[in-house]
Amino acid sequence: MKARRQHQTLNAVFLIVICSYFTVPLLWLMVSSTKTFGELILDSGFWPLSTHFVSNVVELFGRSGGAYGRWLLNSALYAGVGAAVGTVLSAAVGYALSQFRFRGRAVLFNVILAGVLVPPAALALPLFLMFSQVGLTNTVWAVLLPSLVSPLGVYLAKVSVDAAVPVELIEAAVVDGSGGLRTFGVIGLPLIGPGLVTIFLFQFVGIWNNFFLPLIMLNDSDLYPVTLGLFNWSGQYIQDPTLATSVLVGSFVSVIPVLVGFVLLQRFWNTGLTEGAVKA
Amino acid sequence: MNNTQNDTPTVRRSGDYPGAASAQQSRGRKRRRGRPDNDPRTVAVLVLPFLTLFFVFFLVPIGYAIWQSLFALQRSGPLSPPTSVFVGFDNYLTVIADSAFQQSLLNVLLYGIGPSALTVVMGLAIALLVDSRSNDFLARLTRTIAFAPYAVPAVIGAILWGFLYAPQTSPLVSLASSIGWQLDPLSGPTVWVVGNVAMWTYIGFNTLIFLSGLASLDPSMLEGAKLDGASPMRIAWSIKLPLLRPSIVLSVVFNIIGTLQLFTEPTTLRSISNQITSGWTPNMLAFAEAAANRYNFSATISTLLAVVTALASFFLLRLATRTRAS
Repeated sequence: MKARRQHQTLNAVFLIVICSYFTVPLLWLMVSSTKTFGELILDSGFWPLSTHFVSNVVELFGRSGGAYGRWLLNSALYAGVGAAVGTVLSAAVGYALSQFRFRGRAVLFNVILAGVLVPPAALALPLFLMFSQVGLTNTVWAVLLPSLVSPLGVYLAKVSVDAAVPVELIEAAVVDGSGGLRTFGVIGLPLIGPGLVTIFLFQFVGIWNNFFLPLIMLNDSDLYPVTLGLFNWSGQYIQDPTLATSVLVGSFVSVIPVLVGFVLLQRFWNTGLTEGAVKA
Repeated sequence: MNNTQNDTPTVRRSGDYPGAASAQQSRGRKRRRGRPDNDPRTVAVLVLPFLTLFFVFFLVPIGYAIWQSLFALQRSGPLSPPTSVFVGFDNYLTVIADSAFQQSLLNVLLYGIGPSALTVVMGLAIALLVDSRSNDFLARLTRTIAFAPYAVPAVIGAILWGFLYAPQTSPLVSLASSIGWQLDPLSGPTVWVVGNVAMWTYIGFNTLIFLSGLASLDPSMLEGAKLDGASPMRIAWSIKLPLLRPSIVLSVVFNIIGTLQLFTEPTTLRSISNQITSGWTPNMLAFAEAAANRYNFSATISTLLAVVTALASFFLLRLATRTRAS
């Protein structure tokens, strides 16, 4: 019994240490984004907070003609539109793979499944060469179009439809005269609602965090997502130390909404991973 | 409009019903009766938009990279313009023999057996510890907190840790010096300087994979072990761990893919660490080659990486399913 209590204590100590490892950098980011650059150099500790958060944010959004705000909007556009359209495309294919029997179905499913293992970074360089031949590099399309394709999304959609859409229901709908597409939109999609949220989240975060593709495709800083913009600034603050504050505050401001969304929507990640992990 | 066009043949096709059913049952897949709505036009409308994009932005680039890797720019004389010549596998031999490529491969190998392996182990350890705590406050807190860094883009994670590494801005360095310890994180082994950033981001993601695996275990089996008086440690080690095999394979596959494609963290940390060369990982080397307009070499490296990644993942997954079936 005594040994067990010791185990419990060790277990708790380990988890507390590990939780600090995960939280300390984010806490430091929060504290530091309230400081001016001078304050940061003088005292980079976790305490006390300073009072310059608002002025830092004003400076951040005013820098380089409002570049930061544009980057945020670009990221929201790439990730929002990419994930929304991508989710519908994935859901349609997943639904077809689950509910219909057609020629080439097995081949299609296996090719898409293999696609899950192909990392997007491996595709970025050849995509650049292809896009440059049709003159589409350095455009919104160069980032948006490749982001629409998510083999993982198709896989998750198929698994969701398998699990959540009863064959009898679809059959009844069809017997009642509902067309194939209408059945998909009115009955299939709502039934896999939570699955759709999971697919959307995976794809949204994938695009939001993407760095390699925009780095390769984009020259024009007006088209940068926030990751690429902050990367460029961070490469320059050796020359202009005041940029360091903007990089920190910019990181903080861009991370917060996604972080909050993450915590609030965590159960959707769990279901997505359960479905993925159990069947993989 | 499309809907009404598709409706009519759908209803008429219900005659195919029995034949389709037997064809599927003989396939031995999930039991599904033949569908009256197996209308090829509906299937086409559902599948073709994705399939087109998948073809253009997924399959074609792979084919294009392979194609490019088989050619080289050659000049017939010092003043003549370069022409693209088919050279077979020459580029592969050149790249494999190249010391910069070998070094980059060595770096990701060290990364793989170091930080990447530790990511799996830590993810697993945290999941098992959380799972043994019967969902108390600390367990729920750890679940949420461990996963939070995954929301931080790799670039921003690397920028953030860059500040925590750099002596001028690091609270850790100043804390260490206040107890008389001259800490200089950037002088540590580069694999770990880079690896720490990735571990911070991805451990929680791996934890979540394992927690999902644990949630799907049969509770009666664990209950039995508990009644037999097995300690939580013993249950974790002898029962949960072996049953988690599919999750472990999944996590290892994800980590192999991530390791071989390593790019963002080292590229971002280059601005503060001169230990990281422009071709520190194979992917960085491919990028540098492309930036120097040596597209054929770049394509060769990309193809090699993709092949190695695919082979490694395939064999691991194969191994896992085979042992599970036997």
